[in-house]
Amino acid sequence: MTYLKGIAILAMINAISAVGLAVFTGFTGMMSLGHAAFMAVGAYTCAIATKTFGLPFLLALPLAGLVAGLSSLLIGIPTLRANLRSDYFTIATLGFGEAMRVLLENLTITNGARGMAGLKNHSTFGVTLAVLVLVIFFAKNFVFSRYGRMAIAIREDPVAAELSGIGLFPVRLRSMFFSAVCAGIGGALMAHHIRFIQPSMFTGVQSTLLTATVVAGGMGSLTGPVLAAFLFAFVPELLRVADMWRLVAYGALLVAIIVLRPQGLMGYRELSLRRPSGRRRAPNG
Amino acid sequence: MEGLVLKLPLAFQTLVTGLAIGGIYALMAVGYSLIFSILNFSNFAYGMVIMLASFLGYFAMSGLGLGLGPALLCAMLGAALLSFLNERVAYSSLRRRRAPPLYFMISAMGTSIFLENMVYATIGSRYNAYPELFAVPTLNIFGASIGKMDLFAMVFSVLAISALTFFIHHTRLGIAIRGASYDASMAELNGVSLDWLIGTVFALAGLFAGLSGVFLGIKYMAYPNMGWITNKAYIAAVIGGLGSLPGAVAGGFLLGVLETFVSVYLSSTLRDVFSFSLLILFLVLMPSGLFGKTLEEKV
Amino acid sequence: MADFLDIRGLTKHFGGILAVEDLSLSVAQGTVLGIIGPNGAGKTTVFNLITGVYPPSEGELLLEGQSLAGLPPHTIVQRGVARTFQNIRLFRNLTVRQNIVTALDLRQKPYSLAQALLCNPPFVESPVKAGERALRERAMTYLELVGIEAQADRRADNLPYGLQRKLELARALALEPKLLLLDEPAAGMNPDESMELCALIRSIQRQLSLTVLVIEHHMDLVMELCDRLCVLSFGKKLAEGTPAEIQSDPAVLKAYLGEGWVRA
Repeated sequence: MTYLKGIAILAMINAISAVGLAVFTGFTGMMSLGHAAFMAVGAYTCAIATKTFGLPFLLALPLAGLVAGLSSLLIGIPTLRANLRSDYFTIATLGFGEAMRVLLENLTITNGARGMAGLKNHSTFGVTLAVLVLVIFFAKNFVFSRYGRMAIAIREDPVAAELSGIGLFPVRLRSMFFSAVCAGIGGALMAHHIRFIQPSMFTGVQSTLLTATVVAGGMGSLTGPVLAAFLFAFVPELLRVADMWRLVAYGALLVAIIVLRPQGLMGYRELSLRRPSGRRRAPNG
Repeated sequence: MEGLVLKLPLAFQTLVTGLAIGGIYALMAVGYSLIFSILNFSNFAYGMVIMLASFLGYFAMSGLGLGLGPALLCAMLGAALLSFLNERVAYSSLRRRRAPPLYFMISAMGTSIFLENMVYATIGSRYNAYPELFAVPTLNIFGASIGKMDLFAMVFSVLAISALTFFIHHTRLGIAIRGASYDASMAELNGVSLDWLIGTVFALAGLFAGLSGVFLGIKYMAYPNMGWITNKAYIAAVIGGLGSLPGAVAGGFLLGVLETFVSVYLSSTLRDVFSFSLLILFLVLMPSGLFGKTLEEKV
Repeated sequence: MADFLDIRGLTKHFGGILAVEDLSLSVAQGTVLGIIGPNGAGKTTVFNLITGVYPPSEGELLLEGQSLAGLPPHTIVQRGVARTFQNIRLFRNLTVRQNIVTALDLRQKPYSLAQALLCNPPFVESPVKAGERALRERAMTYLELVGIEAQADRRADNLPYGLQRKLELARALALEPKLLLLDEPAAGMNPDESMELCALIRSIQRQLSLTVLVIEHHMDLVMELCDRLCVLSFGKKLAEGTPAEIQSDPAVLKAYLGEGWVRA
């Protein structure tokens, strides 16, 4: 039971970050290869706040989200303001992620490449579930509002969006900030679940996994990525697949989905209690 | 004055070392830029083709006992095939249904994770050293020592890039490729099918991946986690201006030299942070790079 | 007294290629100006310059005496310019109605971000839900204006081509522009459809007293719709005048209309 609970907690942590990234990738149409860096910022902020400064976890957790959000402005403001081509932006986020990891490996306060051990276990099932519900609540309110609609318009056609009076920069930055806050909170929960962090946990592979979760779950869906996060956590575990074969499968899955079924599990739809989930639904249609 | 005399040889040595690695960066950047110029997107999977080429070269030399020449040929042909398949499997159907750039990037990323972890899972994460090629591996030029292999790689890089330049400027197919890089419908005008043309470009880029993979393997050994160095391909290409071949060459050498100076004079841990910061700086301030054409989206 | 839209010495080059060269044009409020000319004459580039998709290399663009040159597109839209595109650009995965709602947001802005995030619990009435309802209702008036209200809940992507053009027109109108730019609104339509569209544009233009610039190849539509015409060739203005004047201009006949009439 504790074993399954542990996997469920991990799944929920991944779902929290994935919901954030869904807002950025699935709803705003931007791809990031640097979201692991925001997870890292959140994880380290929370670990340092609780361990070094003795802050209570429930204060450190939102702080972790905030600091991760602010760190996203570092890369987001220059690149998004310059309105880079989408692939240039993605390369820039990759560069940011790498630079951040090297930085963490060389700072004293993060204890360098050896990382920080002996963190307390604060990410209980209840806490993680509560955070996940909150994150979904905010994401849903954001996405199904005029702010989400502006983001969707940009995903659909940036030129038409701009010529409908939507400024690309503020909308993209807002989505990026939101997704970074979620990633930061996810990272913080991860730190206090595994109780040990080091920079090598937050590489491009982690960013890729998050993107895979969003793509498999379905672009333009919030519940899809949550579903995918659970599938990605439980299926390999139950099948006892070795770690690297898991990644081989994720890679193949990404290509297969994009080539054969680009809408993923739940593209442009949501799981809902109110209406049949099979019905195609445009936001606030 | 005395200090200067003492320091000059170090600077010269650094320059030579930088040029040696820069030559390989240039090779990688050329292949990467070539694909960019025709599909107008950054093929993140290219680095993994280079990594696999490096393994191909290693197995050809260590496993089959082939010499450098045949091994290079094996790696180049293998990488060309791989690169061609990469396009057919991951991009061609996206291309036909005019999928948004996001989809291309995701597909490229998927391919790249797949290939990298396939190597981890089947061959393993070990570092595989190529057999020693020269009894005395270094040469002394004006007080700086340079690996004979580095020198060979540099000369060969320059030759290969010259051959490519000749090819795209003076052959019918090459001219068709250049035309298509401005406007895809031009390919049809030249009487060449676009599918075939794009396949050729990927295979051509694969040849360059093969070359650079073997040279990288000789220098740094072959191992699955080579991504950190193959990433330099697009840093170099961005610096030079994506889609520009002279730009890719200039960017490769420039990056190699600057990076080596940073690691010698500042700190070697800062080297990669420096490269990535340079990348972001170029993307934001000079997105068309040193030689690139300005790319405005068509409306 | 400056005209409603005043273009002076407008020039745009891409690298070495001159797309628009030293173009000057004045458009009076409430009139329809047609821009015609052979393919590659720079017509769409002129639209892209007016709407800020590209900054002009040289020259001035004045709307009611205020300069538009160098402003980003969304600011220009805010100032009252809206357009459609030669290759239809809809928000394809959204419903027809949501396409309009997206554009309505520019003038309406019914609630703030804080309200959206914090004051919208499920199943309970909120300013957000009320605002969204109002937007959805308002969207219907624009759909009715172009006559596609029956398609409100279809996905934009699934509309037939002609209706997609009408939706794009309705979306531009929802931005409440003073100046409307139509880039080949009748492309791909048969003569009957294009004359019907012409009547629709005319009636909307009178009703809202819009100033309209239209690029079009259907000559009968151009002659019917436009008060004045401007002929572009290789990025330069070849002639300007009433449709009747243009029709009898020998330079135009030679360069363009001769061929155009034969085709029409």
